[in-house]
Amino acid sequence: MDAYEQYGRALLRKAERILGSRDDARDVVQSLFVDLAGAPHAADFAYLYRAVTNRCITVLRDESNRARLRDRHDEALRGPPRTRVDDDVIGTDFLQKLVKELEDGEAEVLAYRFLDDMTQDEIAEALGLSRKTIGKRLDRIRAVVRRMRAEGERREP
Amino acid sequence: MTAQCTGTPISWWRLERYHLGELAADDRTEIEAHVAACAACSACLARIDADAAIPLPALPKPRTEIARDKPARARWRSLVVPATAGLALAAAAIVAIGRVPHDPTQGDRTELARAKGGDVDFVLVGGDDDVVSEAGGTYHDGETFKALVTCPPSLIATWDLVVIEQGRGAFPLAPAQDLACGNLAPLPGAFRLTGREPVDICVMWSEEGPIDRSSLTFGGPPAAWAKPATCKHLEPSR
Repeated sequence: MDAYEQYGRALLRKAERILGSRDDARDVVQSLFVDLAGAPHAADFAYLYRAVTNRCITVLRDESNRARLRDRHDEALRGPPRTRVDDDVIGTDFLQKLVKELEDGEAEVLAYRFLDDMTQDEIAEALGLSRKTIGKRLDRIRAVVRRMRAEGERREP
Repeated sequence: MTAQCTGTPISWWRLERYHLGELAADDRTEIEAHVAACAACSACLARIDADAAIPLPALPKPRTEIARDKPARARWRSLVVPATAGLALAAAAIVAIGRVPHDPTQGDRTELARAKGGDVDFVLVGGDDDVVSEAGGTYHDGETFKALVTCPPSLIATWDLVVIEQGRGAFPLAPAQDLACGNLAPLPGAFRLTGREPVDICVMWSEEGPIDRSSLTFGGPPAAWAKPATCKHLEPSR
C-alpha cells in the first residue's frame, strides 16, 4: 500500500479541519504528494501530518484565499469542537486572522492544540520541543486571541 | 447542541493512529474505554470509520510519467509554433533539445521560485520519450517542447517563457494570461529549439499585467531579474 492510499484520508481530514473546505484540503494534500513523489520520507505519517499542517497554515495566511475559503466553508468538516480557548471555539474566519498574528511555530501549535485537540505532551513530541516551550507558545496564542477578541468587541459594541 | 468531551479529548492524531493500527495494545484499550463513554470523541472516530468507505480522489500523475503519455504529447504537438517565426533573435534563441541521463553528482539545477501561496516550478516535456530531467538535460536539432507549470492556485499572473543563450533572450510563445494555476498546467503552445550552444529555459510571470519583454535583460541569476522566474539549463547534444 502506498503512502497516499494509507494516509491520504487522514491527511485530508486534517486539512479539512484547518481549512474548513474539502476542495482546498484536497489541493493541499495532493500537491504534497506530487511534490514528494519518490521521496523516501513520503511514507512517514508524522512527517506528512506536519507537512500538511504547515501547508494549510500557508493557505490560511494568504489573503487572496480568504473569500474563497469563506465561501466554501463547511463547519461540519472541523468535527465536534472539543478544545476551546477561554470557553470559545476558534471559527475559520477568526482562525485566518489569528494565524497572521502568530509566528510560524505558534501557528503550528495552535493547529495541533485547538483543531487536533492534541495535548501539550503530544505536541512536544511531534515538534521535538520541550513541554515548557509548547506551554509558552500556548500562553502567547491565548494572549493574542484575547487581544483580538477584545479589539473586535471594541469595534462592534 | 454539540456533545462535550467527558474528559481529556482523544486527539485526532491519536484517533487516526488508532484507526491505522499504529498504537500499542494498552493505548488502544485506553482509547476504546474513553470513546465508549464520550459522545464527542465517538463522533470523531465514527467520521474516520465512515471515510474509509469513500474512494480517495486520484492523484495527478507524477511528473516522471507525464512524457510517457504519448497521446497527451500528440495533442500538443499539433500546437507547435516554429520558434523561428517572427523572432528577431531567432538564430540565437532557437536550439534543439535532447537529453542526457541525470548526473546525481551535479545536483539539481532546477531553481524553485516563490510566489504568493507556494512554489512555482515547471517541467519541459518533449522530444522522443520523456520529460527533461529536473537537473537539466541536452537538446538535439529540431526537437519540440512544451512547458508545464506547477503554481499555487491562488496565483493570477501573466506568464512568459524565454530561451536564453549567451545572455540574449527570445520568446517563442505568446504570453499566457489565462493560465489556471495548479499542478502541471500547460503553457499554451509549444516551441522548437535548434542550435549548438547551452541554453537556459525560463518561465517568468507577473501579477501586474503583461511583461514588457523589451525591458528585460538576462544577466545574472533569475533572482536578480525584475520579474520572478524559474529556469532549467540545457546543453546541446554531442
